[in-house]
Amino acid sequence: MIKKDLSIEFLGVKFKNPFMLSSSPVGNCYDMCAKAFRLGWGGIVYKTLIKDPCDECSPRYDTLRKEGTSFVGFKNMEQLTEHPLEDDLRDIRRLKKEFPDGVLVASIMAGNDEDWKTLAKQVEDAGADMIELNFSCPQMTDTHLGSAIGQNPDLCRQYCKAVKSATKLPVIAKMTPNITDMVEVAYASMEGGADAISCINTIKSILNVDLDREVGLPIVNGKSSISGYSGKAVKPVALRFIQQLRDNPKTRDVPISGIGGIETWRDAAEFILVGASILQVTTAIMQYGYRIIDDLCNGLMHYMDEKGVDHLSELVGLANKNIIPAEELDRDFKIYPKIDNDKCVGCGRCFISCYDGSHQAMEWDKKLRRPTCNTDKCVGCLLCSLVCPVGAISKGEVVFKPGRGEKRKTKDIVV
Amino acid sequence: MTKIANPIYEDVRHNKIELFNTDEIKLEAKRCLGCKNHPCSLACPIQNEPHHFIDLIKNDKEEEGAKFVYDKNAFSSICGMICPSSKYCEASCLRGKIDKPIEIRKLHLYLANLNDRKDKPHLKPLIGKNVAIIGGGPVGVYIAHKLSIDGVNAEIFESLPYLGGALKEQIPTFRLDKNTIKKDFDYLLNNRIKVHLNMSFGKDIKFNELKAKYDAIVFAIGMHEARIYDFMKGHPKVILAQDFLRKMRHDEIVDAYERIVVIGGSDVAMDCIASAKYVAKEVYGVYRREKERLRANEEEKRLAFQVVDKYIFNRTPLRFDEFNNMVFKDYYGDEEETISADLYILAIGTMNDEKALENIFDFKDNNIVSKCDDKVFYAGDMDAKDKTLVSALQSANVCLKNLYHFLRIDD
Repeated sequence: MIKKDLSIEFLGVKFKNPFMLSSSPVGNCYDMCAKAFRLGWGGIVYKTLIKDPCDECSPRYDTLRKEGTSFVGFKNMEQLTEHPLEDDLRDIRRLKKEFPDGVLVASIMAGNDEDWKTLAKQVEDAGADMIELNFSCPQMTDTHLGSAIGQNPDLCRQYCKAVKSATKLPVIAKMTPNITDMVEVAYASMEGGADAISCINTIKSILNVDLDREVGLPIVNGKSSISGYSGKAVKPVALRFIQQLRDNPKTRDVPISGIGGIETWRDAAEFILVGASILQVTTAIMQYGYRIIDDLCNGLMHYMDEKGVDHLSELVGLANKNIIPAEELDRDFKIYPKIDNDKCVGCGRCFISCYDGSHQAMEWDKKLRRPTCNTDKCVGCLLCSLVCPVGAISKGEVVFKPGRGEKRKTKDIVV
Repeated sequence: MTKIANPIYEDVRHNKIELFNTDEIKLEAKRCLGCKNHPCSLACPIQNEPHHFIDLIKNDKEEEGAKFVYDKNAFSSICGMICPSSKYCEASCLRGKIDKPIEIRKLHLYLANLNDRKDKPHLKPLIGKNVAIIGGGPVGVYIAHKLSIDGVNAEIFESLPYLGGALKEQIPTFRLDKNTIKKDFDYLLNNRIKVHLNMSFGKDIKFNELKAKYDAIVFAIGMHEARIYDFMKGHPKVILAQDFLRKMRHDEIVDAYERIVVIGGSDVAMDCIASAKYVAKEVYGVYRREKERLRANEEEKRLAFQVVDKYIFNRTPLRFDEFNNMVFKDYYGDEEETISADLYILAIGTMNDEKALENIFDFKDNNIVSKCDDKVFYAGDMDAKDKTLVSALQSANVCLKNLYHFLRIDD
């Protein structure tokens, strides 16, 4: 078994590993958080505190499924804490006392400067290591709260300022993806004093519609609401926002806590490569439990070993430089598919997809049930390789487009 | 009947009729690759179009699928139980090249069982034609069913006191239960089909009378003349496979045997082995050639090999010794081997009863030609390439096409 040091420093606080519970139903009380710490989670963002506890609906979840999997997407209508503030503060105090090495982040939300300040002081007094500002819950019953803040740069700036004036703790602003450009609000938060950015919260969604009763799911006494979407399916959206923050000079150096569909060590590594230093998880825990921490840590240690690094921080953001604007991509060449006839089972899916979805370049031998690529027509999109159920199609010959790449060699093209 | 409790046999029985549940069919259907030109459907001899009902399951349209399978195949439940699909659709399923083929037969059976078969096909107006069908097995009833839908009066003449033919006489109940047969037959029959039971051709009904009375005559009498070695004829220890299976089916085997030897390597031989295990402590199989040459399909072989105590290859029957035990000869040499048993079941195939039909058909080199009249047709096992229900139905479809042409019915 490979042992690697997974610890990482974030805003001056040391995490024994980068994995945290995100502010959500999975970190809702002392018992849950204590169990997570005991099983090895590096940190916990305690479920968002607010002055008045929330009133929740029933049922409150729904899932998007695909055959053979439990679910790929998850819809959640739960808001913030349902406990009186004193109870949550008591639990935070107790957790910090019993697990001094576990990082405890208090998530808070309020609707005016005074309430933000009061909450910040209260969680600092309770012993929290950091504060996360929830600018992003998409299912608040009060339209001035949650993601309404995260869509308004002025409010982000203002509330960060208020909180920073009340506490010495590091402050993270948690952003909503329900916005076109995150840089503007993230930068406004930084101007207000935020030390780091968490991204992303959930995506506003309608997951499924009941065809008989003509209503979205879950059905709450005959009705339903738009609410947050999470799970594996949102990972691409989260990675995109993180990349954009890392790509913009204004937000390039802000530390990032990555959230959105992290289920396995691979997902975790992807978030780290695009620039997240610490990682938050909820949906995977709701599905599989806190025990996934073992596989997350073990997989990440092996990956560090493969990459030959001793510190996790060395991996942070390694992919950023390789994700470039579309106009800067090398468009001088194309790659033809290479078909392995021994692996091919003859299903013809590549032919169908190429004809109906690309450039009619795949030719089909009816008798032998084998495809061949007509390179006169092939544009090198490689859709065929993606639909092949047995991986019989790979990247083959590289050629320059007519009149392009005269002074270049195809072997220099990285495929 | 003296049944011998046999746990292995029970396993076989349950294994065979294990059905998919609602979750399993979804997972199974979604394993389908959706191949170009649907190799599964191309491989079905009776055009059941499995690719289409698999798509229906994928898209949560099981009820439509239940209707579809009966529109395509009036024997859907029966075929769902006994079709040698591992030779047809499942053999051509390309998913099999990745892990294992889609279990198409079980999907088919699931859909068939969903259909309560109350919704019968609409009968077109009568066109004033009358067709006599000799034989009330699946093929005879199927042809009557099709003709009656298209406005023809069909009359079935069956020698036994019930319809069903080989399905009821030959196939062991653990492979095909009576209830399933009844449900499909009830669906096939309607008021327009007249059924005459206990009517033997040549005895109770004469060919000339039929010829005078009907516009066409269809022979669908199956293949009954068993092949038998001369030295076995009349021997009390020898029973023909079809007689044994019929007796098993009707609970007429009352003895318990120490050892039964089944001679042959066909599907029928496999059925005999699996059935014999019910009434014998030991069951041996003997086949004249190598194991690889067994003609039975994979599923039948699998079942038989689970229960058979010993299968001896490369041995052909030679004679009985003085203790009435059968002596076999090495297929490739001259060595002899005595294999003792209480009962020898002979399952080496059947032929057309050429003598009974000698005035009607010429049997030349596996070709059947009508001797007398162009209004005479034949279908089913008499004609089929292998003695399976699908093959028989495939032959029935050819017969129907010719018959429709002859009767000038638009298909």
